[in-house]
This record gives sequence, structure tokens and C-alpha cells, in this order.
Amino acid sequence: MTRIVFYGIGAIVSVTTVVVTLSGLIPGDRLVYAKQKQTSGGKTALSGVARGPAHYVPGEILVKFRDEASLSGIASLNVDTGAKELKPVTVQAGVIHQYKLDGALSVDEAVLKYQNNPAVQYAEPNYLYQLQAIPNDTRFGTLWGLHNTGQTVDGTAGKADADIDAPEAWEISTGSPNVIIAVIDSGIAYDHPDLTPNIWTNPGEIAGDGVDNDGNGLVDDVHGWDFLMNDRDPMDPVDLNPGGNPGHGTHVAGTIAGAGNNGTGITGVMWTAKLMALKAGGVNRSLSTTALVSAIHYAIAKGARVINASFAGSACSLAFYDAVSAANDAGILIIAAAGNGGDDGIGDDNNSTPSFPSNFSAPSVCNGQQKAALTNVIAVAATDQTDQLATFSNFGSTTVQVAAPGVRINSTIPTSNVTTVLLHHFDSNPIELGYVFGGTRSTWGFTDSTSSSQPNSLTDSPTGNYQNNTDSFAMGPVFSTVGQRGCRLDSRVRYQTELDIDEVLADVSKNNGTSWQVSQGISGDSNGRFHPITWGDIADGSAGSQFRFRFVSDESLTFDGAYLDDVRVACVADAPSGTTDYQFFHGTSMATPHVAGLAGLLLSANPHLSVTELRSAILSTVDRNASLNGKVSSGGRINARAALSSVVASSTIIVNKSGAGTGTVTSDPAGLNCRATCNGKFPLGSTVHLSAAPDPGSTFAGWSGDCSGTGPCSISPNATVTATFSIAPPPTNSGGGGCTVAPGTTGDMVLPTMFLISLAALLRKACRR
Amino acid sequence: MPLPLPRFAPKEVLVKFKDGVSSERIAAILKDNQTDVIAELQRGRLYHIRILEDRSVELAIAQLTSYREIEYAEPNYRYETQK
Repeated sequence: MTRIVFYGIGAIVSVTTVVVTLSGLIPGDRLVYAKQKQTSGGKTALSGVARGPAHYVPGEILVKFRDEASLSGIASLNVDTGAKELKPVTVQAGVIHQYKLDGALSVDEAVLKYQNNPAVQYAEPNYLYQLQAIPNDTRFGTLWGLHNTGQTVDGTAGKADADIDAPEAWEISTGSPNVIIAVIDSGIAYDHPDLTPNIWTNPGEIAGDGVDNDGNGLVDDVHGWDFLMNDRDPMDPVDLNPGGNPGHGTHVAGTIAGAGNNGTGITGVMWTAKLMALKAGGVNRSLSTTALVSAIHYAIAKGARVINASFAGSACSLAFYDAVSAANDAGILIIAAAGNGGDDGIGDDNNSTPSFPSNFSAPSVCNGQQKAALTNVIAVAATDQTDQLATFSNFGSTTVQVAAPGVRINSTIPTSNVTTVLLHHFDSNPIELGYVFGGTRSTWGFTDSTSSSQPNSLTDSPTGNYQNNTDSFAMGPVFSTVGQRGCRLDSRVRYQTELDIDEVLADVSKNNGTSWQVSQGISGDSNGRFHPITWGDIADGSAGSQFRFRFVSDESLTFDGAYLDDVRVACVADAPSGTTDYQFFHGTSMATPHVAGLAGLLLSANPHLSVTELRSAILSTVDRNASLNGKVSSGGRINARAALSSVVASSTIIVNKSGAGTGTVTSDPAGLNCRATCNGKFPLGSTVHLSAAPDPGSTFAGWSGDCSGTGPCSISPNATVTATFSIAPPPTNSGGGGCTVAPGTTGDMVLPTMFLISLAALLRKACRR
Repeated sequence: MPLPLPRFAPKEVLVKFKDGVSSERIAAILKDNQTDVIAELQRGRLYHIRILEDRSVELAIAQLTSYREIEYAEPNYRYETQK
């Protein structure tokens, strides 16, 4: 019992200390709690992986005395240990004393001395705890991929710390509204309350004025574009039929950047970001190369830094490769799903069964051409709640780079509340509906006999079997989707055709039938039953919308044909409620946005990171495990905290000492202080000033390597310098001038190599003067 | 059952022309091959076209790639979301 109180109070005290230190980094309304990561004095860490020695504040201890302890006894004990009161902290159970030791006793010795005194209830080092930012989103407990305490999620228990360490990462950054992540997918329900704050808005476009304000050829592309239906509205069309799109893009978007700490639903890996909605698919799950290429070029033109690609296919398209390569040139990272296993649902090896775009991360053969690996592509496999590779997940020792959580992922989905724009039962006076029949050998009409859908349905062959060599249609009336979004066409259908040869198709038009787009075809036998079917998307905001059903047969074999009923165009009715519009999905599609969100976090911490630096930060900081060894090239699952730490302070300056003399090299900011070879870590993009101080009897002869001259050395990390100290008394320095370089601006990120080249040039110039 | 969507869009081809080919020449080649332009991507070098007559995508690609002005021609391949 005492022990429990003891730990709890220790946590409160030390966190209070750290919060004060870091207060500038922590939003005021955010719940912060501590998790002890380390093991010390035989006490077991609560959770987490120890990443170094036990940490506590040097020279400080915390002591709680028993109530009966006398003030004089306390004072005398403190004299014995050399402890001086820093701060008494009043807690429920009394007073905790925070003492500073005078150095005569080590922290361990002092703790032991106090513990052995009967007046002391407990004594311990002033442990440092890792801060964690736990957001107040109501479903945060279900997001095991971000924070796994072993909790049961959707009926299945997890394993503590089999997660991406998001709360630890959020100590460093929770995102930024300046980082644009493009989601190329089925669209995004941009009206979802948990997404709305993080939806990108095109700064160059005036909403709804019908003018292409930014001159990019697209009118009113406010939040993105629908490259499937070529309309301005990238709303994710939800499909209530099994097998269709259940709100895929909206789910992915929520994992990247569902609004964090807003007291609602879930949070993304980024609490704050800008999500660009690039709709290239829809209710049919399928995305064509042309839509993808256009979407990628849009992302390039509009300043996205990361593209989420939660889709895959077996074809290596050159046009797709060229677009991804153009994104690489533009400094855009593309996070791609490794893909879910084929028909058997078991993950395949992408080394032998290529999957694209994820395999663009490795050398590929497209259309007979050998194509180089693209460094901006990271292929992502999926892990489960115990950090195992998901059974459905594709993998590849050279073709998949990393894994991320992809099983039982809870995120946002569009509302399933739809409004009906058009509904044809064909029951009373179907002629009045205005269908037009035509094409080659058309026998389309209405029937009340063969169909089991009473009283009437629409059919290609009202009297017996269809004919050979037909390509006929039943074209519905023109209708409007102006003011509507997320529209799609569905119906019930009964069919019997020559399998894979004769088929019934739905075509859609948004220009009164001037041009048609095929959405889907079916063939085979429904065994006399009507099935619900979602045919495909309908363009939003079009006054000239139309659909037609086509029947196409070849020269042999005829059957009963197709019957259609309850033909419906439905669109999104209202915004999602924000309380019920969440769902669990599985897939490498769900793993991918965890990595895209991490890339966004890295860019929020350091917007100047190149594609290569982002890639390295993500892949070199993974948590490795046996299940992923040999399955992904990095051997592990992403760790957001470790990746962020690596870009915040990841670069090294190496100092070598040369010459017969001796001396000390120090740095400003601190981090280096050495008399021989040593190195220090400094934030990327910062400027570090090195000083050399010769010992008596030695002299500083100068810098070499990435600095020169004898003056202070100002340098950007990722550099190596040598300091030479000589014994001989130096010749008198003529003009008293060393070689001094004006310090760079701190935080001004330059490609290290470029910076060093210009620095070297500056130095040469300066020294010649 | 609904057919699994074909691996590529029926009757559609993507054609990439080499740099320096005039727009007149591009139009002539596409017309000679009985195709309609659906869209120009990437500032006129990449064309999304529809095959007008009863020809397979494979045959149309074979015919198009015989032109030295064409860098490549390929089907409009499809990809699928991975939920």
C-alpha cells in the first residue's frame, strides 16, 4: 500500500518539475501524465522499453518523513547527508521534501541513509519520467496503434507497447497546419466533425463562384478534386452494400490527421495537419492510372509534402512511374500500401509478386523497361495488436520497407445517412419515367411476368432469352445532382448471362448523354434472385446527369438476361454526427496512413527535411522484432517518438584532435567538450560554434576538415573537423586576426552538403583577406 | 456475381509522346488510329485516349507503339484500395 502511494507521488513531483521546464511546448488544456520508462534499484519499469541507463535529476532526492518525525531529527539527518531543502511539496498524504545533496554522498548512498532511518517513510532519487501527451478524444482508448497498453480493442487484447509511441512523440510535435498531406483515395468526408479542422482549403480558389480562380484548369477545387468523375467535389461516397467502398478514404484520413484533443472521437497520428482530398476512386474500390497520375500532379502543383497511397495493383504502369518520379523530384514522399494478399487472403511476397505503387520503392520492370527504385516511395506492411505481421499483409525483404499497425484500426467514416435523388420502382406507369430504349437489336422494355420483383421491372428481354450480337441500352431520364455530394447509382438486379462474355453494364453521363463513362458490368447467374448492387459513382453538382443500362452479347449462347428494379441515385444527406461515424477496418490500407502521419509529424518538427532525410528518419528508428525480420527491409514497425527525436537532434559533429600539443574543444550550444576525438549531437539545421583552448605550453595551430583557420569554427551538423594543437611556442601572430566565419542563422536549414560547400568557400575567402 | 473489374479500363489507352513531337503530328497519329482524346495529362505529352472501333486494347497498343514518335502506350491499368 505504501509502495503504491510512493510511486504515485514520485510521478507527480517529477512531472511537475518537467512541465515547468517544457511549459512552452505543452498546450494548456492537454492532459499530461508520466510513464516511467526505466528500471532502477530493482524496481521494474511500468511499461515501455528501456533505452538507456536510469534517469534521475543529478544530486537530488525526494524524502517523505513519517508524521511522528521530529523537526530536530529531520534537521540533524539532513546535516549528516549534506541535503539542503529545495522545495517542500504538499500532497494529500503530507509533505514531500525535495533535497539537493552537497556532493559528499551519491544519490544512491543518500537514499539508503534516509531509508535506514525509522523516521523516514520513503526516500528515492528524483526520477525523470517521460512525458506523454494523452489527448482527450473520447475513443482514444481504442487506438492501440498509437498507444497500446495491452487493452482489449474490438474484442481482442493487445500487448503493451506494441504501438508507434505516439504519446511520446506528441511531446515533441503534434503536427502543424502548414503540412499538407494528400490522400489519393475514394474521397474524404470533409464534413466529418473530427476531420473538418484539418481539411486543406485551396488558397487560390474562391468557393462556389464557378470561376477557375487559380487558373489550374479546375473550377472551384476548394478541398481537392474528384479525378474519377471529374467534378469539384471529393466527397467520399459511402456504399452500404457489402463489397463496395465503406468510406475508405475517410478512414485513412482520420488515421493521418483526425483532429486531436478536440474531445471527439479519434485522433490521427497528427493532431493538426491539412488533408488534401484527391478522389481517384469511389464506390467500386478501383482507381485508374489516369486518375492517379492527375491526382499526383495536382498534389505536386499544390504543395503537398506527403501522399498517402492506400491502394495496390499488379500492373507496373510507366505513366504511373513517371508521375511518382515527378513527385520525387518535387520532394514529395509517397507512402504506399504493400497490399493485402490475393484471393486466399494470405499475404504474398512482393519480391516475387510485385505490387504497385509500393514496388516502385525497389527496382522494377515496367512494360519491358528496367526502372530504378524511387527513394520517395515507402512501402508499408501491416502489424497486429501484438506486433506480429498481419496474416493478410504482403511483405518483401527488399520491396517493403517498414510495418505499421493495420488490424482493428478505428477511424472516421462518412455518414450512412443518404438522401434519395431518384428512385424508380417501375411499378405504376413506368412509361412516364421517360426511359429511352435503343442501340443494336434492342428488346429493352418493362415486364411484369418473368420477374420475381413484382409488379414490374426493367429488362433487356421481356419475352424469353436475349438475342445474340446485341449492344442495346435503356437510358434513364436526365436528373440533377446540383447541390448534392457523394452521389452514386445502385439498384437491385437479377441476371442470367453467358459467364464473362455477355454482360449488363451501367454507364453514367454528366453532360446529358453527350459522353458516357462505364462504371461496372456483371455477368453470370444470380440463380433467380434479385441482389442489391452498387453500380458506381454519379458526378456531383451536375444538372445534366444521366445513366443508362446496356446489354452486350456476342454471337453465341443466349440466356434469360437481366432484370433491374429499385434503381436509385442517392447522395450524402447530412454531415456525419461525429458520435457514431467511426468504424474498425483492417488492411495495409490502414497501416499506410500511420506512416504518412508520421512523415507529416517529422515535417511539422522540421519542414526543411528532404525526401531522403524523411525516409532515413522513418526507416532507421523502427522497433525491430522477429516477426518482421526478413519481411520488411528495416526489420521493424515504425516508432514515431524515435523518428521525431532523430530529426530534432540527429546530426553529428565529429572532432578529431591532432598534433603534439594538448587542448580542449568546446561547443556552443553545449554538447561537445573534449580533449581527444569525440562527437556531439545537434539539431539538424542548427549552427554550432566550436572553440579551441590550448593548454599552457601548447598552442592551437588551427582547424582542418570542415573548418579552417584558427578562430572560432561555426558549422552545421553532419561535419567532421580536426583541431591541431602544437607544442612549440607559436610565431607571433601578425595582424591578430584569426579566420572568423559569420555564424549562420540558427534554424536555417540548408542541405548539409550545400551548406558545407558554401561555408568552405566563405572560409577560403575570409582567410585570404 | 459482379465481374471482378478488369485489370484495365476497356477501350482506353495511355499514350506518351516523345519530346519535340508537334501537336499537329500528335493529332494526326491519334486520328489515323481511330481514337478520341479523353484528356491531355502532363501538359500535352501524355494522352488518355479511347479506342473508337471494335479493336482490343492490346491491338491498339501494338499499332501505336510502331510509331517512332511514341515513347510508350499502355492500358489504363486499375489499382484497388487495400482494406
